[in-house]
Amino acid sequence: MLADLQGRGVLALSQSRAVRTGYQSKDVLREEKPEAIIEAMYDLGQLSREEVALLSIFAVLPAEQIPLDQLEVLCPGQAELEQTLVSLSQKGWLEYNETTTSFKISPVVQQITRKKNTALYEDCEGMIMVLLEKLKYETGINHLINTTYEEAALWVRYAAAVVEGLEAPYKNTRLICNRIGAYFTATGDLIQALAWFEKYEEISTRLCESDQENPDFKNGLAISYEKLGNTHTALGQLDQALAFYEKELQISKELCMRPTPTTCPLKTDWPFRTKN
Amino acid sequence: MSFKNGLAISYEKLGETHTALGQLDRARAFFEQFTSLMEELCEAYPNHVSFKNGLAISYQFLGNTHTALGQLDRARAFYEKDLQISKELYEAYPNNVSFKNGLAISYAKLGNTHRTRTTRPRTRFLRRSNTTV
Repeated sequence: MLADLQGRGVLALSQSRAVRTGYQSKDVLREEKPEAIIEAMYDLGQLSREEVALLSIFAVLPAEQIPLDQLEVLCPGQAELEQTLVSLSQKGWLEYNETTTSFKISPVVQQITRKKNTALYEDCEGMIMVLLEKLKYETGINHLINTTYEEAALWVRYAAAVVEGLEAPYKNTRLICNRIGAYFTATGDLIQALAWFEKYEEISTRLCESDQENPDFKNGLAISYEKLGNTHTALGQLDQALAFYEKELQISKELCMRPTPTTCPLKTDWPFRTKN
Repeated sequence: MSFKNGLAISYEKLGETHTALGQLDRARAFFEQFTSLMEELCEAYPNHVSFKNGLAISYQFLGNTHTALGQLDRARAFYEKDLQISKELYEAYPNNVSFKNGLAISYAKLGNTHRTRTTRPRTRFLRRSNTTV
């Protein structure tokens, strides 16, 4: 049961039994599964668009206290941020902690929001752009440009949660994986770097499957193979590195043989690579 | 911009990996492909600085590989091409540290090649008989 809760979440348990409830029924008890009741209890329809959008941001961040000043960074252009936060707390969707001026969402509300909000990605896109900007690095050496390494540890943790929270593959979550991988490469944690470049590859593969003709998706897949090759090289696993570089070559060739070369951003890491 | 530069990177990576695995002939083949793509790119985009830098690097890789294979005359020819481009880059961007570093490395590579040639005449003799085509 615990593993089920942690893995699938409260709304997708593998076993569940109907219980009798008087909830939303007059005088008689009706039989409903617990997850259906939980879902019915939280109705996003009662919230304003701004409230749903803000709740979505909490839904993909870690379910922990998030200070107001961080929220201000993560939600740029949200004029009524404080008001929306207060109203969500008053309605019981968020928990407000006065001493730390921070807000917290419950994991159940997270799952409800992720499941019910069909515009989840769109609502999170602004925050994703902020995280991408924060974790921008200097090509070639992976040095962080826009933040300190101390601060970056926090953004990386948030960014990792966002990737997990958004299940479907998106171009920008793919980019987040790359940024996180670069952060761990720069800080010397090659095992974590490898894991994130593997995630990068996984999302790229799913994107390619969704649209096989999209050159940008294909290019992303090539880059992911290259990153995996680089990381295996750094780990001294040259045979595995070679296998990834060969895969990269295959896709690069396919891209070059396209009948009409499309305009597309350059592969990363090009400017100013240094000699050995 | 086509995907040619992506393909070039692939060749480069394969060249580097085969070098690390000690498979120099295979490495050389990949570096040659890398170089020829970079030459095409530089011709198509003469103002693209990173392509130019890439071309210099590709010549240096070929120089390194030929050095490792004991073909010092060929190595020197590639190092000279590398030096030529590295000079141009440094002159155009005197404040760019990595171009300055690149130029220094080019001189070092060429210096090493000449030193090896003069102090090891036998190698030179052997190589000549092998590679004069």
